[in-house]
Amino acid sequence: MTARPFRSVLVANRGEIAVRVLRACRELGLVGIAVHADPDAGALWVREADRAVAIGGSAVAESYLDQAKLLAAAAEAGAEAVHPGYGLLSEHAGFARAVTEAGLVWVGPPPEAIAQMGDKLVARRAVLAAGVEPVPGTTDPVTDPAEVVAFGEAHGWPVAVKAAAGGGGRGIRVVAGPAEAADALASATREATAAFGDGACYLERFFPRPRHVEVQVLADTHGAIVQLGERDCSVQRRHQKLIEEAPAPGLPAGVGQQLRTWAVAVAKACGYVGAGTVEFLWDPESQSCWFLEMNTRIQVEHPITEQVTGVDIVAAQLRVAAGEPLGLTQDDVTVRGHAIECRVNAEDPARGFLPAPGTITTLRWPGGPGLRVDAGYEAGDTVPSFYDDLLGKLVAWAPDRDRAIARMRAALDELAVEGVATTAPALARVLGHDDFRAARHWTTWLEEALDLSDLTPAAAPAEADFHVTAGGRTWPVRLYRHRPRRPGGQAGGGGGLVASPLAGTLAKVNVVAGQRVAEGELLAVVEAMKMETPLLAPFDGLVVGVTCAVGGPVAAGQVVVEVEAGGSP
Amino acid sequence: MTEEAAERPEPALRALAKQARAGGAERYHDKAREQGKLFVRERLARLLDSADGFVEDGLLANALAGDLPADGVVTGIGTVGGRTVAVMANDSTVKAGSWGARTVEKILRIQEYALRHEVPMLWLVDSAGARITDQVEMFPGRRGAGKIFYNQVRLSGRVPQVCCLFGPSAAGGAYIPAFCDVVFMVEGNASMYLGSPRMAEMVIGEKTTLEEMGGAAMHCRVSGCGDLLCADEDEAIQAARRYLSYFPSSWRGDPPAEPARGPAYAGPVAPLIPTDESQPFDVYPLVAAVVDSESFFEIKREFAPEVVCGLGRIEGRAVGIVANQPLVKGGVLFVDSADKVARFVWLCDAFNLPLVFLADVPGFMIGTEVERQGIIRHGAKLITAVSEATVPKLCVVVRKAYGAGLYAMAGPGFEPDATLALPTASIAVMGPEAAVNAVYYNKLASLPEAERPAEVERLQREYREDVDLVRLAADLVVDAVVDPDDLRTEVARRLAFAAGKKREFSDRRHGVPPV
Repeated sequence: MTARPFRSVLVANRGEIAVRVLRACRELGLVGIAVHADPDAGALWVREADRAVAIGGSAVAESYLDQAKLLAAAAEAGAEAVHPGYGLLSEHAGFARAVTEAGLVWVGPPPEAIAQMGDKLVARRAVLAAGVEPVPGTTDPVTDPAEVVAFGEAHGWPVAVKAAAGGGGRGIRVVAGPAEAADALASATREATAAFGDGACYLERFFPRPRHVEVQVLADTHGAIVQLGERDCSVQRRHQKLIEEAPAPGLPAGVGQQLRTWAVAVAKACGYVGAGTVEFLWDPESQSCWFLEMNTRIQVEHPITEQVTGVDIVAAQLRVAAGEPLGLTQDDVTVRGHAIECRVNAEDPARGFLPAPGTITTLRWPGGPGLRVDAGYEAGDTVPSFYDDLLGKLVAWAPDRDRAIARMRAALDELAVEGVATTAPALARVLGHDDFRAARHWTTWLEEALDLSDLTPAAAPAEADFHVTAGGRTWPVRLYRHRPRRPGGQAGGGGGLVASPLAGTLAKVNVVAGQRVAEGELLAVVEAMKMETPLLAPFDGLVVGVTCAVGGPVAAGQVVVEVEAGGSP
Repeated sequence: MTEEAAERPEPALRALAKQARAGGAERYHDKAREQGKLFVRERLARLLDSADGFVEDGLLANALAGDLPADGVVTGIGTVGGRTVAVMANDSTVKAGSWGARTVEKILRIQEYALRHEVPMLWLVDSAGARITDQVEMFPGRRGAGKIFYNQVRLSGRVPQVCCLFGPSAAGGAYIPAFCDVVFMVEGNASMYLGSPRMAEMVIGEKTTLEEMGGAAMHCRVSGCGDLLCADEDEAIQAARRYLSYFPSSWRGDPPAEPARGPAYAGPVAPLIPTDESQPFDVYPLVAAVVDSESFFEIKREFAPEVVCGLGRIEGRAVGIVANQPLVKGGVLFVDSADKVARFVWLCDAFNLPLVFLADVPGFMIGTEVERQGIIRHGAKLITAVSEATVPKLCVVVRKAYGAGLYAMAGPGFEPDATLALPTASIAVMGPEAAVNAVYYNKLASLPEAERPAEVERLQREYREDVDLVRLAADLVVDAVVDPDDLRTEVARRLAFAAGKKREFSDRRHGVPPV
């Protein structure tokens, strides 16, 4: 592949990763271009970017997942490369191709590698061919209970019966032994049919208490490939990572060596270029490890690897995409100390990590030696309900794990967030727990062993008195020492009779009889003393009548519009 | 213990005191609870820093009557926010909190304590009025109820007088809240009236309800006798405590400062203010841009909302804010707005709170209706108050300041410490449209109709140039043109420099102000 230097990068993402990539662009002297959907207007990465393009829409499908909009934005802003970040379109081979076909540089692996690793069965075949063991499982749908029994006897119990159309932990049934095989398969098939309209089920070896360990790899277009060591991401909720650390604690040296070797083998097998992560399952009980999948993009938790290796992975992605060599051999990579990442999400851990979008009234990130913050928000910003709710990541580095934990606990103490609930109290509880400190936890440990229902959000959402939208942002205003209640009908008249509060001329009427109006909606405008005075709907309802003529005089207290409460919409 | 000691009178006295503290009969306590009312001693416990620190006078007042514990009123000295206060609290479980001779004497004495010691006087009012049966002893004489009001007038401006109105304040009793600086009213229970609905029906044939005629909502929205409508007693008590935190204990002191906070609104200020002067905008965000976070205490929010008055803090320093509200009635000043601002200015000037005026005002209302209400004398009253105020005053011309509106908002002639103009400011006798119409009416009428619009536009442009902000700054009408984003800082600095200002106005007994 030939070198394709570029001068500007469109970041087709949002939140903290957009900020992270824009930072790398700035450092490398590249023009960083942000995109934003409507709810993200004026967001932190938009403010940080050299240029920003509004792509409109709210839901991801009509914004950050709309390829045509992103490509149009790239053209409009004169971008020469596209960095997809993580999630969204980052592992979409079609988008990678479309970017390349538009004459832009794709900051990521070749579309073929994305496609290969994105297809479970294809990936499985590829890694097996490279001598890497995936989690034992079947590749064809299973219909006969005898197959379940045979599988269990061959690979060990328990066995998971998985809906082909499921995913993310949905549609899984665990079979402890041969006796349960028939019932489990029948009900799994039935449930899968009901839930997904597809009853096909596969089998997989099930590990009740596995750890999630992954290896970061970097490859360039000149054939160089290095691994940057492993990370442990076993503190999860609903299969989503919450706390990650590097290196993986308690991992036997031999297992670590095996995983790193396998990771490089997988990357080679798919012709990988750029930054990628090979995910494995490690079962401490059986001391066995298995390949899960490869993520063909930057990971949320990449900073911990950066902290222990000193390698700037995002900068490396950009340089590799420009055709430059990695400039790094495996011998150059050493892992120093221990790093932990905590994800601070706008979620309420006491209510099952329920997303808690809203306006952040106070946000003070911690600081100090060995602490890194990758944030996507500042105080005054609003976390929209449409997208991932990651506010930012705290990354603590220290010479060893205990000190890294202590540093992170102090950082969580220092973190101050008001306005939205966050995962911070849950993170603090995990870090203080004996299981975590002894690295005895597993991927469903948080849900199975920890009761978080008594947690109160780090700071009770402090209600703003009102919000002001100005300069593209929504600002919470906490004005009152004593908050007055909402004043009663200013419109005068009383009830649904909306009267002019002063004598003047009826300048404008915005409604007609029979029209539905919402509370606070502009009904009419009275002009007096050369000032416009708006008459607003006192409540949701139906306009019964307009009793004055536009252009004519109105007396103080004269009813202008009559509104009737309620009424069917 | 000797036999003699056992006969000593303490146990009987102790029982009597205990009985006096318990208030009226149980059924009156039950009734109060049903109405959402707290017992007078619970009210005091919530109002004061510590109920234990309260010293009480006249607990045994009228003890010989047997059924009039403390004669229906608790008076004494305690602390609120660490400072000494004098308190009077009616006990509505004793004859509905009505006044007898001892009740009045207790009230007079606690007032006189407040006068002598110059400490704030707090009123927890819940009283049906005079006991007609006792009228000769408590109504007309030198130490009758009239003296209460006389004392209140003497206290006015000397120490803060704060009223929480929990129940009725009828007839003469209605004047207690009226003479206080501020009245916090509990919606549904509080009322003020001279004659009850029954009396109104009898005397003038009017059928009405207590709530309609003298309820808290009416007084806070229409009559202006109330300052804050509270959902319950606790809210009223907390409001009173918070209100007091802005004030010195007496006219001699400076308002206590608090640690500075960031602005209540930290965003860009310029976008808050539309440049088209006829377009309304909400002034609260602008107030929030000037005052500290969580520092604003609004007075009479629901009365004459075309102007906003409130206590606030700027970098910790207590101030009074007066701001026109273009969103309501175009920010035009009416008779009620004049009353509201005049009283607020008097309040701040009395207790050494600097005043910040945020002006965006088309002027006083015109027309037959307001002339009949005496808009001129009301306006003159407001301008009197603003003139007499010798605390540091800053006039900030946000947008327009036309006609006497400029004067009402402490314009240059009224000795503000500075007149600051935002770039959107426009100062004139009247707006260009009105001015051109007034001055050139005959000339315009003589023109062929087709030529009029162009001529009107030319004249308006000429007029605008004449009163252009640069011209006003060049002629030193305004002292500084301030960027909206720097307004808070500029105001804070100027107030800091103005502290310790010499306060003189005019040698005389007192003025003869229009009212």
